[in-house]
Amino acid sequence: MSVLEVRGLTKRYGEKVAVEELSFTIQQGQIFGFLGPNGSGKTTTIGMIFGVIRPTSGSIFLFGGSSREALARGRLSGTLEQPNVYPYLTGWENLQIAAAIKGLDKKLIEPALAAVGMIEAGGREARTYSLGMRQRLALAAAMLGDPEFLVLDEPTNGLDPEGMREIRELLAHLAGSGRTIFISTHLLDEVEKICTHVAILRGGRLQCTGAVTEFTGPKVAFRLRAENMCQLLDAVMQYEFAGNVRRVDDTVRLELTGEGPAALSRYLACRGIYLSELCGDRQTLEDAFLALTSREVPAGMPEEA
Amino acid sequence: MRRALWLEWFKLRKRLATWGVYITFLTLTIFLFGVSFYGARHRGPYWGFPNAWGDILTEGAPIASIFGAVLVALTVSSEFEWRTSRQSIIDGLSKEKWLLGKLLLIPLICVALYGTQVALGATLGCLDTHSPHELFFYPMSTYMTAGFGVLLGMYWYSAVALLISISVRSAGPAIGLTVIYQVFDNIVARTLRGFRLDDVAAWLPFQVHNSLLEFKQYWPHSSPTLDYHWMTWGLLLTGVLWAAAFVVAAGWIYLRRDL
Repeated sequence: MSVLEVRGLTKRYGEKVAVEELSFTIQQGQIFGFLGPNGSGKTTTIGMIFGVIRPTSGSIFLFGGSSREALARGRLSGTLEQPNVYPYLTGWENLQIAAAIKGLDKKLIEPALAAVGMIEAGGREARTYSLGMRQRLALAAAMLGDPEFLVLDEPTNGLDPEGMREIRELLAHLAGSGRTIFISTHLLDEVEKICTHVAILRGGRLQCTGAVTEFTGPKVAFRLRAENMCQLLDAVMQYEFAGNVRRVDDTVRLELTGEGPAALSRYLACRGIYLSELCGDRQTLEDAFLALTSREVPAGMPEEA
Repeated sequence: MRRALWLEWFKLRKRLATWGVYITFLTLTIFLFGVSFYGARHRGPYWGFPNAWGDILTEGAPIASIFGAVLVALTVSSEFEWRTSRQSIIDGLSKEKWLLGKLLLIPLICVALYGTQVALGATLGCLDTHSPHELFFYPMSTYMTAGFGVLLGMYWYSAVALLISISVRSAGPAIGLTVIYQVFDNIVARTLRGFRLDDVAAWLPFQVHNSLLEFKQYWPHSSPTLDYHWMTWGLLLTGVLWAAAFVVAAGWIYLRRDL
């Protein structure tokens, strides 16, 4: 079942195009990472999903209906840009307002504060909070009422490594309970750790979308080093199971098809080439992101959406 | 509707700045009525019931109206600065309900401020009700209409503050523009009167507001030389129409702009 369906979404501010012809779908249970450099249109897109920014054209369907319906029924919740809280109210009172808007019981506030580790700080005014604490408070407000679909814009922004880990675990826990999560962030290793699917945005246009494994790729690429690198390169070029062979820094990089690294090592030893190093060279999401956002599409990347 | 009102009241009463504005307003009102009361006791004319009602109902009304508008501007524009207006929509409040909350907040503020003023004036009036001096006693309906007219005038000015706050979305400029607006309106009115366009000038929004806060407008037959040309019901209707125009404009802008 599709939770979110975005079709041909475009937002223009005068001459400037913030988002152009964006289309993607999120299925139930997915943890969807939304990536892109600064100014790529991520926040504008999320604003349109929440219905607080009016699209110039295109349509958004949430659970088959409008975002307004999804918000009113408590099926959708989340955060947009920096945490938006009343600075003169305590954390508890801020959640009291969120609970009142959602028509929820005040009893739910304490568990929500506990889930983000804010029980002790909940009685303090939000103006005294650090950015990380505000992030946690905003996350607690978003989780009130257990929405089916959480949309989070930079939820780990301002958090220290420990805080990031806690939020990552919390999100993983939420995703494990079947909830669908849409998360926009710059932290690619975070996305790689917790997301199942990803979309990469650049200049307001969708560069590609797919499962995270499609971007990171299987472990079939290797880097080799030997005493005589020229001899190594020649031998590898002639190896029938090697493909995409190239020099990368002071190593030879290749992809194996059909045979494993043991066979390759044997093949080279038979030719008097003894490897000083052989290691797996897996493409990370960061590699894919940098390649896509700098217009270099490496081999094996998913097609543009 | 009840939830929207509760939310606004909760946010209003918890804010220190609200109490700062209220205490300043209270101090000025005490000073204003104190001077009238003290002056009446020592120099006359008599300032007790029943003839103090006119002063109680309208003497401090301009202060109440300005402070009400300032409080609305402060409350509404801050929601844009903190982006809590946007977050409320994300939390599930519709834009219409958010706006409804603000429209309910305005009478709440008006009644609270005007009620304080009337209660304070009435308390002082009670202290001196046995003077042998002249008595001006109007029909009860005149006092009721005057009270309603002042509240309408206050609502009118707060509606202007709402429109400005929703348009500029920043507390400082919103409060500044709300206060400066009356100067602008007065200058335009004076210019029009200079061209002998008194009837046109009297229809200007802030001139209507000023008329609504004047007690003599609610007893037109008492003074054939009124500065304005309003009959009571015409004035009230014009006040309602101007207030409605500002509220509609505020809603139109809010519902169409991105948050």
